[in-house]
Amino acid sequence: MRRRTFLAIAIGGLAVSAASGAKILRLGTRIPQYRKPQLDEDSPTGRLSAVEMSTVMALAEVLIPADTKSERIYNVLRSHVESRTLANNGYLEEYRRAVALLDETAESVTAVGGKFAELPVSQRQRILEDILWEYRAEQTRVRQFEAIFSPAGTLAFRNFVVRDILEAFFRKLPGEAWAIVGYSHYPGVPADPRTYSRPLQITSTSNLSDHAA
Amino acid sequence: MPLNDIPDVCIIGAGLAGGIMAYELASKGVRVTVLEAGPRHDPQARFSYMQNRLATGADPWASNLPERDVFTNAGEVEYPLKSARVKAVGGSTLHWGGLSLRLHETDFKMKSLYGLADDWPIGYEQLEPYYGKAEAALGVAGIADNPFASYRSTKFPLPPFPFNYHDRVFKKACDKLGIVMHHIPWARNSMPYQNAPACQAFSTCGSHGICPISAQYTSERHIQLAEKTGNAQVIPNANVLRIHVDKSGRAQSVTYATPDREQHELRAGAFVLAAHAIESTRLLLLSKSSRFPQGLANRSGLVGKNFMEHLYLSVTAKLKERVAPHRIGFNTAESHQFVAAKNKDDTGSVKIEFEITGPTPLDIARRSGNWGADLAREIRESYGRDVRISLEIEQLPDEKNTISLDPKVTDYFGNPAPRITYAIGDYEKATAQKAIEIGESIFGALEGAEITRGGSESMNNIGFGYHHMGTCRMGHDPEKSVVDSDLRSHDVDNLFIVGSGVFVTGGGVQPSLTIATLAIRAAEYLAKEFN
Repeated sequence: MRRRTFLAIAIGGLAVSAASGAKILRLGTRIPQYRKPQLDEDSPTGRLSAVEMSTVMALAEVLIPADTKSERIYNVLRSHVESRTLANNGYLEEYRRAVALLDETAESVTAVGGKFAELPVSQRQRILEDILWEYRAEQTRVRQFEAIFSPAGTLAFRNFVVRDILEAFFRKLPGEAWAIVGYSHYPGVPADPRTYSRPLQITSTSNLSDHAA
Repeated sequence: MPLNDIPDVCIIGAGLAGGIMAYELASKGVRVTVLEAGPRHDPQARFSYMQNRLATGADPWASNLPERDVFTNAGEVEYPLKSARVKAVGGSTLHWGGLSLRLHETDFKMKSLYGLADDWPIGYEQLEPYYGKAEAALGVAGIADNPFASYRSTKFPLPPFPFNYHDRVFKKACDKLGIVMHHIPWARNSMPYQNAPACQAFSTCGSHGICPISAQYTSERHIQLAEKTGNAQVIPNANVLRIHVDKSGRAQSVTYATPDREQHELRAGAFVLAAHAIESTRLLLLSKSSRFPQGLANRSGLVGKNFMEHLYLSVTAKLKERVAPHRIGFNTAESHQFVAAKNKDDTGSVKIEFEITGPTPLDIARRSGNWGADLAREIRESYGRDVRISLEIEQLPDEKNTISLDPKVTDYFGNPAPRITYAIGDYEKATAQKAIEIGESIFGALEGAEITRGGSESMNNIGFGYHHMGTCRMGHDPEKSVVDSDLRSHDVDNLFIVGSGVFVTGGGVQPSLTIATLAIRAAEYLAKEFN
């Protein structure tokens, strides 16, 4: 039985038991505290190899929500990952595990046994969906089960690698991040201080026709 | 002034009260030394602080010596002191919001008017002129359109920040309910003032606690002005461990330690304790002696008692229409309609803050299970639809809420840590319930608003304003108070205590302007002793 099927059955079974289900759901909210993956702070810092970094950037290409992905974006993210693995104990190990997880999954789900970085974006997307199925669940309550059913490696992958890359995008590329909602003025950038007392003027129009105030 | 000189006045703490005292005294020819436990941040580095905070989330105001700032909790409610204070030159004004509100005249007469708590030994009428001076000192931008405020004799020194375009969302609902919205007085330059530029909407003053161009007031401004007089010096990283008294019972000197644990002594003619309601209390209790066995200035036994806060609740809603948050870093509308109630028998003040500030794209991404194009779509659909009403709630003084010394936990210097014993009483819980009803009624009157967080859930998530008040209360009777109305200690006549610790009641608004007001008034009084 695939893990996804097992999880669906488990969740369904729990849902029909309303009385005890509530208790289990409450328990579910507590379990993440106990299964929160920890960084190994004794593991060494260092650089990823060029091949490992290319896999991480192939992952970033799927993860980040920018409409247009420029060389500048990759340079910033590459620099972030490099600084992270050099400065913070535990991250080099987690990024290497992530590369291994992505490549192993790529080999198992593709007929040709390709490496993750060599696959087209659509296949990388499907691999990520397979790894992070519980994470993608839309209902927060259901997502609590991620902590129970996800393999430890998957939890660590999401907590330390996926989250790190996404946070880096939003924090270190604020122009690109705020452009998602059509903002050209955003926190950290000066503007005419009276602008806020007027309707918002959206300059970017992609997918934002309903956004004007 | 050379470091080895004996100053007229030693001020302990370089926050809002200490900074203003330093300037007010120094400008009147009084020689002042300010001892500050924390470091001195370079105002020129504020821009890089902001950039680093945005890029990494790192708090530039975090303690430089966490082992010094340990604390414990012993009450029903865990009080999160760690995130509530800044130890550095500038104190908590380094990360404050800048709200500069006067207490209401009824706040000074709670006992007389409502039979609750106690009256202050001074009234609004005595403080009113000093409120005007404090607004000028801080550079408060505002307009007198609050129909619930007490009278004022002066105009605000700076014009107000206009309403946010999207405040009209709230106004539709408030108009239906007869709730009046008005402008907010901010210690933030709406135009250049005191050699500081006007706000340029960096939008990082509220949620990130940094104005990169110092358009928002911090007490560093008054520290610098004090130094320019030539009568003041500031010693950062000077942690005062004890206040010593001489045989006559007058304060004579302090012992302070630097982070290398080296100890120094400083004598002065008078001492001003401006270390906030918690550390001022701890220092008084640590400075016990054979003459003052309960702690310095503690004949009443009230040092550390009656610790008060402002409780915060919020109701959030998702709107059908979009607002455009994060274009400035602060709110522009409030309602004080429930601050000065005519009857406070059952419930206290509730201040309504209207917040056009929902989750950022980063916040949405953190909660999302999506990535890539799906995440971008989710952010576009979700962003700008959340608004919040925050409700600030009055807390009455209660002797059971205390700051004491924890005999089991010591700090970096080997001194007992402050122990907080704190609970929320029935009066405050009833006020909180009323506050929730007010918040929910506003969203109920707003067509299409779906409350996403409120009601009983909010009651389980009561937050704090980080306004520490009431541990060294003022009063006429030395048996029932710690300082007199001039903030002079009843027991030690050359020891003054400033800051919100001296508040008898807390009212329903932020305490900072009243802290500044009382400091200006106390400085005027103290300066006369040296002139």
